[in-house]
Amino acid sequence: MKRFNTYDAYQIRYDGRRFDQIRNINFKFGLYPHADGSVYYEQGCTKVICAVYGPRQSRVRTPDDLCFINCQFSLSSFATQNKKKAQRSMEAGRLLERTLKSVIDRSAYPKTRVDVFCEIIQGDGSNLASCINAASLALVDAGIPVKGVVSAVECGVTRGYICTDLNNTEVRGNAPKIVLATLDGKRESIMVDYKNCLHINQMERMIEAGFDANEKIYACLREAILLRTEELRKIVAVKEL
Amino acid sequence: MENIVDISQAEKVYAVDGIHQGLRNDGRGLMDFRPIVVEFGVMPNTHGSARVRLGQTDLIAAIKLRMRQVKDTEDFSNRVDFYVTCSAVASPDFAGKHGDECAQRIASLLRKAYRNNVILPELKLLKLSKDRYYQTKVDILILQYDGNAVDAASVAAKAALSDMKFIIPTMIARDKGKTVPQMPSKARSQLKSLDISNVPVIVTLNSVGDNTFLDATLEEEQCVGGVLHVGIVPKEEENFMNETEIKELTENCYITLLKNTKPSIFHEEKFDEILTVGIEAATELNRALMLRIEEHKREPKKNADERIESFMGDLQF
Repeated sequence: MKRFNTYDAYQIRYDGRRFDQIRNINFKFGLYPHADGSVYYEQGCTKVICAVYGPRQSRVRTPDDLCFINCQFSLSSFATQNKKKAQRSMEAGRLLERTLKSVIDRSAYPKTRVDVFCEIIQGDGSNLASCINAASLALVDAGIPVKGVVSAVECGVTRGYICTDLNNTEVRGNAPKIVLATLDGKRESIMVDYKNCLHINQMERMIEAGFDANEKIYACLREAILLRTEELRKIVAVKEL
Repeated sequence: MENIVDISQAEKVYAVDGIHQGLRNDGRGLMDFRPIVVEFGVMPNTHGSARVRLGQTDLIAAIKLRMRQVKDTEDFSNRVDFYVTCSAVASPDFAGKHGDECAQRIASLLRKAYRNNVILPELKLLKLSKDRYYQTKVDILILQYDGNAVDAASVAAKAALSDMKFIIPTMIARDKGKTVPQMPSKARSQLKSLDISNVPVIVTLNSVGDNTFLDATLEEEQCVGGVLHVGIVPKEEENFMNETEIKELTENCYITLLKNTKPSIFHEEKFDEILTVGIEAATELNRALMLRIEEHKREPKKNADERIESFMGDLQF
């Protein structure tokens, strides 16, 4: 039976990308000087604003007196087509927190706290993955010591093919998808979040696709950080004159 | 709002002394606003949107129309709903539920100001048939807070309403009095927008002792004694007018909101003065906003393919 869609006919997706292609990434640092670190991050049409406040005084004490990390993941009410009011997803916030806990050097600032707030102003799929990417850029902008640059991507099965960096139309429904986060583009995952049902034979291929896409995203994030460091170095050089 | 920034007693005395002499910390006069930047159409997936930067206060207003089906649209007064969110990005004190209290205050002020039939006479266009109507929801997201969010929110709401575009579908009747919408064939040429010349603008007046001033920054908000919000509906003006006629006109406009948010007492004589100052300021603010809206309408229409450069662009303060 012949199926008429671009996936089978031309091996490309409806937005013109190949299955393993990620979307365009744009960023702008230092949008809100009031926060210690802030970044405006775009991955395709998904737009995220991330602000980092810290290290600050904390009344909450963790065991071992390590740095306390607080994350909030917030989807604004005009971000997607169907959400009625602004949602603060607790689950996504927890995942973000667990990812960042393993990345931030918590023993560098004992008895303090670091707050990471992400606001999605336009959601076009891969919301959690974009937030993780934005958060890693914002942490670098805030000057908080990290073990490496985290990058994350959302992969799933659409129309029978494994696609990376899903957009809104591909994310909806009961298709299986994973959000995979890695450190420094290496092939070791620091966070995997998995939804719906997938056959065990497909699992390995999906994770491989996730690692490949993460290498690409890590390359973009690293470039962003180098550009920002150059920019800041020029500002510091001018000040010293 | 009270626990964002702590300033010392000495700083408060310094600010208040300056106000009594007619000077403010950043060099403005008592009746000067900070520079306001208004951008339209920043959220392409909504029916209308605007981003307003009032000094360092940054907020986005977006309008979504939702078609709802009810038993009888006559029972529903077609009003504009406001929802305000203080994003945690603005301050860590807004994380969790703490930001909602501040947001509720701003939303209720806006709702009060919009609760009458004079402001949007064309709103009845949104009642499509006996059982369906478009519900208008204005969502305001505060991204950075540096005082005077209410004024910025009212400017953003008006700007977003001016940017709103929608299509009135033809309603086809079905059984039992229900109707079904059908989009017209050439949808792009049938975009309608509302006439916003009567939409209110709110101005916040802060008073310290005998002096009143406009547009308080975050630090100044901690030192004020009384806060009064005045919302006016501007009257129609003809294009060619000289200075003397304008003075008379400011005394004849509708007031849609008059609310005192900080407990304080205004003496009867002072009150008239304060009110006139407020009305004048609001009329000026409205005039400037209408000029900007006209300027935006006269710009050549952008293609749908062009990027929206609002956050990526270079315009920063």
